[in-house]
Amino acid sequence: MSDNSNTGRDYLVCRSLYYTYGQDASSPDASFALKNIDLTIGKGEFVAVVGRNSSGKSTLAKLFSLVIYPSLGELYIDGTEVGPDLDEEAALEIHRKVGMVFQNPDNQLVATLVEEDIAFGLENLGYPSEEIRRRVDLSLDAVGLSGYAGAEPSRLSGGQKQRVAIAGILAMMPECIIFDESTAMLDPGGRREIMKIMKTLKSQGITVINITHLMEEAAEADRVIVLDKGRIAADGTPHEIFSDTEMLTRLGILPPQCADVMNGLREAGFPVGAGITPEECADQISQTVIARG
Amino acid sequence: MSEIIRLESVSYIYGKGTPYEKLALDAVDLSFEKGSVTGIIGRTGSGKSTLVKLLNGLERPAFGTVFFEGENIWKRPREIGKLRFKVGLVMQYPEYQLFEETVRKDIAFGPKNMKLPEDEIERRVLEAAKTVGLSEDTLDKAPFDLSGGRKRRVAIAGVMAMQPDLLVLDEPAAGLDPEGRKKVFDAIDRYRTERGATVIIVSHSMDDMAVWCDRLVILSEGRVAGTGTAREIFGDPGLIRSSGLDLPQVGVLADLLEDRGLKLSGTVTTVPEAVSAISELFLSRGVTPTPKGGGAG
Amino acid sequence: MNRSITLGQYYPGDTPVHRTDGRMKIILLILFMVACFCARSFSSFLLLTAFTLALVFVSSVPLGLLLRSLRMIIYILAITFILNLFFTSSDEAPLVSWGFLKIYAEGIWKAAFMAVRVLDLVAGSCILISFTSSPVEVTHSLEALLKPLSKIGIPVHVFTMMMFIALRFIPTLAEDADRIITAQKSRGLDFSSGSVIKRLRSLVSVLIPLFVSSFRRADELAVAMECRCYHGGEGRTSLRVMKYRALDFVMLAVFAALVAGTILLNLIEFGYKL
Repeated sequence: MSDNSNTGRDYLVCRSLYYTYGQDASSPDASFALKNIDLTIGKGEFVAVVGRNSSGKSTLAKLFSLVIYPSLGELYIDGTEVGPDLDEEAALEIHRKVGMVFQNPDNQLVATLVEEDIAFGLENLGYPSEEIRRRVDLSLDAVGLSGYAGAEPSRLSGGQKQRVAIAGILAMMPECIIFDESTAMLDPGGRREIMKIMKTLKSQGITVINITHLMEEAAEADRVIVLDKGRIAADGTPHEIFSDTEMLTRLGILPPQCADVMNGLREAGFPVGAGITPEECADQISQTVIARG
Repeated sequence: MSEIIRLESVSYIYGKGTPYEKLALDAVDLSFEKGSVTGIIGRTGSGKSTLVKLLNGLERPAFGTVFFEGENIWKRPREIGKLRFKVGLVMQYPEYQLFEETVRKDIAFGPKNMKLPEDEIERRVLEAAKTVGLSEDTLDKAPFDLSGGRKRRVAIAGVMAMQPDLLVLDEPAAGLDPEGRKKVFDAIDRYRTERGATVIIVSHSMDDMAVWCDRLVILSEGRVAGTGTAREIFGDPGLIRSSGLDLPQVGVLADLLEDRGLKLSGTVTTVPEAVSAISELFLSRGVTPTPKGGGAG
Repeated sequence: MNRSITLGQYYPGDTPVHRTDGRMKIILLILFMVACFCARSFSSFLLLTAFTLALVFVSSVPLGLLLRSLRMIIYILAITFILNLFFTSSDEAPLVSWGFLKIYAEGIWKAAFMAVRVLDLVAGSCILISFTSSPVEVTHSLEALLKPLSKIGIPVHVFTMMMFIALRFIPTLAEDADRIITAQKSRGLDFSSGSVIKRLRSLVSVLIPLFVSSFRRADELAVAMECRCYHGGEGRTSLRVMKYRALDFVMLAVFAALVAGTILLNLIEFGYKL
């Protein structure tokens, strides 16, 4: 997998990674939020991370955003080993390359005007004003908010606020964007907007990680990682994950409705293939009818 | 057929006298049957949240009247506070209203404001905790130490402890994982059956609404765009789309099947309904199930 | 939604006063204050008042709106007026006298001048700053003007960043407070009745959730800022390019002329010395 080509090279790598919120990782009764995580996410992948509350999803997000460091084991972000002795330069570079979109849109916008918020990262990195202006305009355009440069974030809808947050990351020309339950507080319209942007980002070669508990969203990724009690319980394509009814029940995951319908039909003995999105399922069902009818 | 609350051509103007003045509700006529579970759906800004605040007298209509048990709730404005014990409102993200040192005290806040005797308060706290599925040892914990889903249920118990006849919930399961969502809806259902209460739920989640409500009301731009059972509402894709809403995923699937010449009998709104309707379709087209273990294609 | 960070009274417009650079406006404000305190003679007050009215006219802020925002200082004015009126003594014979209260001609003048001075001062600063610049602009301008101070170790950036974040979060916190009050009212909270202790307790049920939510927001914001490469003011640049234009220097000249004019009129008028 890891060669010199730009996409496909290992981007986020965890090796026997453990994390405990307690003090002492070496004590025998330490309780770990993440246990023995071995994970490689390649550049340009679109990965969904799912699992019930307190399965370790948000701990993983905190590790990638350098809020915390591994208690045991190793974490590499684009080849740089991440730990408490990471120097400031390297940390800034990782923050520039790996953007985070958080759950609450109100708690991540810094400035009082949209354009100033998008400029925030670039201002921190010391870019000249003309370059900031150019990139702010480009990023606004990329998230479909051109015309909102002078708007106040507090007057935007939840979905629009999240798009501002995404634009602020895009302006820094990131290589990877992590969405940490970014659609949880949005209405269906807002969710659709954000999902559309995720797909566009993916098509531009940006690594996209969507931490979510909405399985309809996870189904749109290329790869689904299921966390359970701090361990990786499953890792596969959405088809593999969502057609394994037994595992889903065990892990407390409700598959997308359509996948559930297909599972139910198969359970009843009907010869249908797996499907997740309504389109896929409709195709599968009509194929079955044509084949036997 | 007796109704508990009724709105008669109720209009509400938001931000009156400011440049942002907006007609949030426009001559809304609605009534809610005793013991029913009604879902109010509509996109952001359709007037749902305003409607909810009118029901327990947090806001006063600009025009029109709200009747609770046949009486105009604003007949004696000074006594509007009493209505709030009968119409319990659980706001969005209610866990942010928790403030006491213990779960027990927090749930007791409402009943205390009702000036009930101590033993009655204690009894109600225990009952509400049981309804929402909180164990007794949770009661002496600090609410801030609980997980998100449990905090949410503590907050809901805080309203249930007032034992309102009408329970109104605004997005009760927003932001929770599937397990948490289920626990919240189970709690609501338990409260309704135990107390014979009426429930009104506001939500964006069509999937949940199709499962838990016996009647749906669609709000669109401050007006009632439609009412009916989940089947009736979701059987009218035109109405759903013009109100800016989504069909439940199985509804979309049924639509797509119809496009492919495979019409299902009746409207499907939930997974079990879809499985049985598609099975029926298969059987009518000569697709027969193979006994279990025979493997799937 | 009626939420805005335009605190106070920003009155949008595209007049020379609006267009003047924010930093320059702060300098103009200082000059205007100097002029107000220099004014001593009748003619200089006349000039000052005429200038203030002209400023209002040019900024196209409706006079009624301005007067409404001056309402608050009327009380202060009334008190200073009365104090000046009665407690100014003079060698001349009093105009009126009731017992120990004596009103002298000089007292009337002094009181009137003081009132006019305060009125002009407040009206002028309202027009220059609060009506024609947004709080964001004022903060940016302050940061730019005070930047040299950071060379001698004063953390200018820290203060202005705090101001920005405060401005940004005022509407959010107002919304939080509103939501919490609504939620507690739904649980039977009653602010309007009961003893003082009971009311204080009611306040607690609102303040604690408000603090909890503010700390949570602060915590999340800090992480979000770090994820966006925030590492203090060092090496920070700005999207905003602040450039003085011809208009700014014209405004500077006009205000400098006002100060000069005030001083000159003081010198000319009989009986008044600088």
